[in-house]
Amino acid sequence: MRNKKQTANQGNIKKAKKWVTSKEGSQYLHQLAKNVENMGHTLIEESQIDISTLRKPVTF
Amino acid sequence: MSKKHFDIYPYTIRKLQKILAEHSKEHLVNNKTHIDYFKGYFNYQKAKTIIVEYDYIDHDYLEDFASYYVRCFTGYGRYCKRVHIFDKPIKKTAFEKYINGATPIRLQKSYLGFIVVKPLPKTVVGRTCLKTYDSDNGRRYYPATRNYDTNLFGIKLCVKDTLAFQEQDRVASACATSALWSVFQATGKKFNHPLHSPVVITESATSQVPITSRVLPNNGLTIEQMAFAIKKVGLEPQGIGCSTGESTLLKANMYAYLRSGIPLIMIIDLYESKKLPNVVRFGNQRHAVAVTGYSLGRDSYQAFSTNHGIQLKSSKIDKIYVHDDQVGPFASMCFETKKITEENGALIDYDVLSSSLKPNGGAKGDIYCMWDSLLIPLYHKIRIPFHSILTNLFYFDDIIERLRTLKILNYSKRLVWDVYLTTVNELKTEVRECKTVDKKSEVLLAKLPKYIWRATLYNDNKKIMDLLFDATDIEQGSYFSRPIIYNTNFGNIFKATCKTMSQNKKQLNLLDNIIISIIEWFDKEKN
Repeated sequence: MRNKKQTANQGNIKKAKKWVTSKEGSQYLHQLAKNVENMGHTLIEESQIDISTLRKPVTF
Repeated sequence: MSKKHFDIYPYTIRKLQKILAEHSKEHLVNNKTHIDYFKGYFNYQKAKTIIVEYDYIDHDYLEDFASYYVRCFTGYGRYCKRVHIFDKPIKKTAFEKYINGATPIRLQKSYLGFIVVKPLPKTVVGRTCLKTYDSDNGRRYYPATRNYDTNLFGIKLCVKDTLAFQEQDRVASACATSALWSVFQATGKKFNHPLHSPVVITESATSQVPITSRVLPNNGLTIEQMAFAIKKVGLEPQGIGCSTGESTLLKANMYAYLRSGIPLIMIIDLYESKKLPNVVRFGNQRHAVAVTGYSLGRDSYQAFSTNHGIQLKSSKIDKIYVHDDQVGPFASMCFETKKITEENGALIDYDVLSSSLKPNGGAKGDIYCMWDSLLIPLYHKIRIPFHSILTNLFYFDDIIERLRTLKILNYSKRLVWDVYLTTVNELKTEVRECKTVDKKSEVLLAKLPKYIWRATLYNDNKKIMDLLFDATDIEQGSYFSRPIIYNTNFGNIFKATCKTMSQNKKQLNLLDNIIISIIEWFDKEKN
């Protein structure tokens, strides 16, 4: 049973390597890099405090 | 001063109201939202006995008294009452025996906490330390708590795992100061800084940042002034804007810091529920609350946004627990989705928070809140913000999800990330007790920074992998520390993927240096 699992895992390792070097995998990773950069910028913008809010009194 | 030292009464909400109203008028106290809170809370906890301790000197009230009230023509008192509540019946004779040395059987176990009653006309609720609600089978979390020791005529008692609360007195403090005061109760213990009374917090907040009205009596602070008050106790204020109509980023930020025991201040705007779907402000005032806990009550995880499907553990938050100085300690605010009318007339779904606040003559539910920003008091060494960690996770989550959909990783559902700040000691203690860690001794012997961002990947409730980031580094640095693998099969596939990716230098150069560090770390690992 353990050997079967090891064999299955070895098979998946090979599939992972094959996917990364495949055309589909390369294109996917290339696009992902761009998307993540854009999402990172969006996240930074969304996390900034609006300067105009800094001096509004909190009085309730 | 009172002639009596103490009184004992069977608990009823009516009795508590009378005790609170001794220096006030009953109708003023009875109309307070705090009464609704106490009624619900003490009913739930099955309160049975009230012990009133007279002539109690409360440190925070005494400082406020010395700074302001003592100079009033009206002779406001300097002594408070401290009201202790227990969930078992206690007779006066038995209590007198305890004072005289008899063992106070089960007194600690039945102790629900105390409320300091200030001798003021309206804002009577002083320092209040109450046992939290139970976890409800692991749903409710109160990470930002500590113990409070009390001494009742020589009997040692302790309110465990709570956080002190008090209402604003509109003299030394408005909601902003009260929220800061509560937050400092936790950070003072965690980061070893002095604990100041409300008047000192207000004065330090306004000492360098100009104020257009008088400092005392205080009508409120700006976020800038609140940030300055945080700096005055030796911490750094991390301000986070999160004013969108979606709650996932807010929840993620709150959870990330709160989980490590750091409470946060949330600035909110108040709106009238009855005017929905039109968005109508309730007054013009902003409110501040101290966020002290959360409930992971949603049935399922939520995708982070329409742009990225990453699932975070924080997305299961359905409620937060806050010290709202106008409601009570650990008051719940529920995340809800309301239909609101935009400026262009379109009707859209908008995430908001419910509130227990009531307008005069109104009812609970008349007010809902929209969040504006968070203010987090951080130890100066904690430099890397949460959003930097999350951006790096977007990349790897996508790859892992792609491998899963290609059935290279055998998981039936998308994996979930649990992202939070922790310390090296807490991490290593947990790792040492865990049975499924790959190369455990290597992890435990590794040199790691004091503060760590921990991103744990889960399949259902089983840990798969940790990615650890140095929270004390600078953002331009390579602040990835190391991974911890809990599932060897996953680890081998992930390592093989990273090793293959590292061979494509052209593609690697498109990536952020942190992502490159993670890939290169796995590349260097032996097969």
